[in-house]
Amino acid sequence: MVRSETLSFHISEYRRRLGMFSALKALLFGATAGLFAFGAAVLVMKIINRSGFVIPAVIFAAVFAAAAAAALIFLFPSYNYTAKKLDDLGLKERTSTMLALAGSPTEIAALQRNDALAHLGTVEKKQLRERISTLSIILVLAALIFASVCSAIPAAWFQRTEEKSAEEVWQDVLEMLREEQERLEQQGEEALSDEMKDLIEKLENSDSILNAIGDINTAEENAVDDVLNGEASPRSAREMIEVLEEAKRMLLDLEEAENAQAGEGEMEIMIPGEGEEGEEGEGQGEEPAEGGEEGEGQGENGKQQPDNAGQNGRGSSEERPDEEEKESNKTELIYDPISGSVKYGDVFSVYLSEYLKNSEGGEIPFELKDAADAYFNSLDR
Amino acid sequence: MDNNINDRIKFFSGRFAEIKREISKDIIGQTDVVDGTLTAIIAGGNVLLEGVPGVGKTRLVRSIGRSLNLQFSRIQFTPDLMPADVTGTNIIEKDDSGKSSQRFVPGPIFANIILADEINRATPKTQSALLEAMQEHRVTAGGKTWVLMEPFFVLATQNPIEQDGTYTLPEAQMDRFMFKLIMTFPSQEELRDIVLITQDTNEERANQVIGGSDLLQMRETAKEIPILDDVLMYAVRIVTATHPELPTAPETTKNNIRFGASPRSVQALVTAARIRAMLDGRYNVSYEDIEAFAAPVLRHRIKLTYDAIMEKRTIDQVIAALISEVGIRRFSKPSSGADRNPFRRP
Repeated sequence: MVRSETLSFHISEYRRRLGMFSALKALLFGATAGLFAFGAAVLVMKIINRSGFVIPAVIFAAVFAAAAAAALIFLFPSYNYTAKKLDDLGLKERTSTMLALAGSPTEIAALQRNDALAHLGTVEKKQLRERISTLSIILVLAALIFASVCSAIPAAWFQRTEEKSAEEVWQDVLEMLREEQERLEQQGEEALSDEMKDLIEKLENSDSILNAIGDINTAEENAVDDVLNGEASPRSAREMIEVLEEAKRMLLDLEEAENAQAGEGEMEIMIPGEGEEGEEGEGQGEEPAEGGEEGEGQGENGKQQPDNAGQNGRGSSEERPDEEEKESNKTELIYDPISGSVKYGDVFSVYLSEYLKNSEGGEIPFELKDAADAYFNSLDR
Repeated sequence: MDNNINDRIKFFSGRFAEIKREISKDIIGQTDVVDGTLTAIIAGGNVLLEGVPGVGKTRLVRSIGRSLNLQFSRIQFTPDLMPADVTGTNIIEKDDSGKSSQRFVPGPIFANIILADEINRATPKTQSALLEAMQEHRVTAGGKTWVLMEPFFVLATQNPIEQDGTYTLPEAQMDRFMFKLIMTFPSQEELRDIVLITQDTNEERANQVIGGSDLLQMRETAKEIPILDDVLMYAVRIVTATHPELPTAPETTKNNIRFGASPRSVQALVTAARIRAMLDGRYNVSYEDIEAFAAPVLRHRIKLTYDAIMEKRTIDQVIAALISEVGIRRFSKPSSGADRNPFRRP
């Protein structure tokens, strides 16, 4: 009785021959899968704003290897399949029947086996071929085109959202300010509404974020003035200042994002009173000119009792014309990391806004309220 | 001859070639018909032969009878032929003493090879007498049953031209014929050779090659030829594909066939394929063996649709198209319920 393993041995070499074609098909399949994965990876990298082809190449290699290995396992021919391919070459099912009768002890099985082996010897290995389908070749080419196209797509196509987002931010800010202006107008706050209109007009024509922030700061100051002059209610002014602060925050975020994208280096932070004399001094010189006026009022305040703040402040301002004294009279050292300088009015308006809010909320002690009001009123901004 | 199967196969395949050579002395060309007729005889089947007059139907049967040393008988079917004329009848005889007795006189059917000429001219009753003998290899006459001698083979003919006044065989009766073979008009070269042969003598020249017992042994030997399960299923799929009512029917069947072939077709296909493999000196059946007999087995068992008839499609064309459609699914596996024994001996 002849075992099937012995018979399989006789067609092993033919099976290996067919295995070569299976390997080629597996490689084509792996290449197709790998190239599609490569193209997809490149696209994703560009969408998430990453550059380079190392990761897509690694993905291609991994997918290619896995797909080719899986395809080879699936496509590698069995002995029965090999027998059928051999029979197709004119052996008239001798090989397939031989494998099917393996293990049969009958005389006819032995005769059939000998007959099959004799005819098998007449088949040359090179006669055995597998057809590579046109579809698989088309798929490989399609995958190659896909990968090429994905690689060739400019990354800038996916960065337009950044440009759009800058415009959108501006539009959102203006929209927000317009809504606030309408609200103020409906509430009858004419002075504040006019301030808003002026600000919106300036922002629409603004050419930089810094200028826009400066205009917003000016609007905040004017709002405070309107309150102090009795032309606007503190509550409306506070709400308006909150909206303006939100607008500033949005514009500052946009500025930061643009700077990060542009890959700017570290921003120079100019600290008043430190660094080189020349530039800083000049920079600070300008400030003290404004702050000097403010410092005249505040310089004394920092040292004197609150109930005497106003008078003392004015009195002291007249008595201390020096820039150094004016600088030393500043009560806060707060720095704008972008411009490297401070507009005193920015700090003041925030504090005044907070004071007004707390005052209306009844959080300022009665005995201090009059003095504080007098102090703020006395300040020459 | 040695009883060894290998020797038997070699002996029979050699003898078969010799038989064909002997027959070729009397029949020029018609190789498909000769092969089919011999295969049917070995298989124990019967053949329906269609051909115009004068193509050599009677000569073929005579020649086969000579080469196989079988008793030959010819029955000319006419409309007035009675069943008793075929099977035989009891006659009353008086002996010398005047005593009457009945004696059965066997009819022409009591032979090995019967040529039933123009079977469609006889009445259905007479046809059925022959067909019963074909199926059961026995005759009932005079109250007694007579067993016909083996091998018993009927070659019935039909004239495709003269259809007036004929009684077409019903499908159930047609199914009893293993093959339907068509004798075509010979080519010019063949006709020339026919004339040259028959000018000398009209007698058959074939010599005996084997006897009836050898024929029976060939039949038994052929049964031992193994058939692969895939090849068997291929035969099954071909026959199944002729049925338009089945969901698996190909487009050719749905468009051209009204009624499909019976299960007897598969038996005929496999038996004939085994004989062909044996006579080819092979020890296994191939797809080619199945396909070689698809047309002879199916052409009288399927009915074309009226559309196909009107478009003048022939049955052979439809069968060829069917084989093409089924053939591409040659490597498909058998259904889950099928026995997976690769070594089939139905």
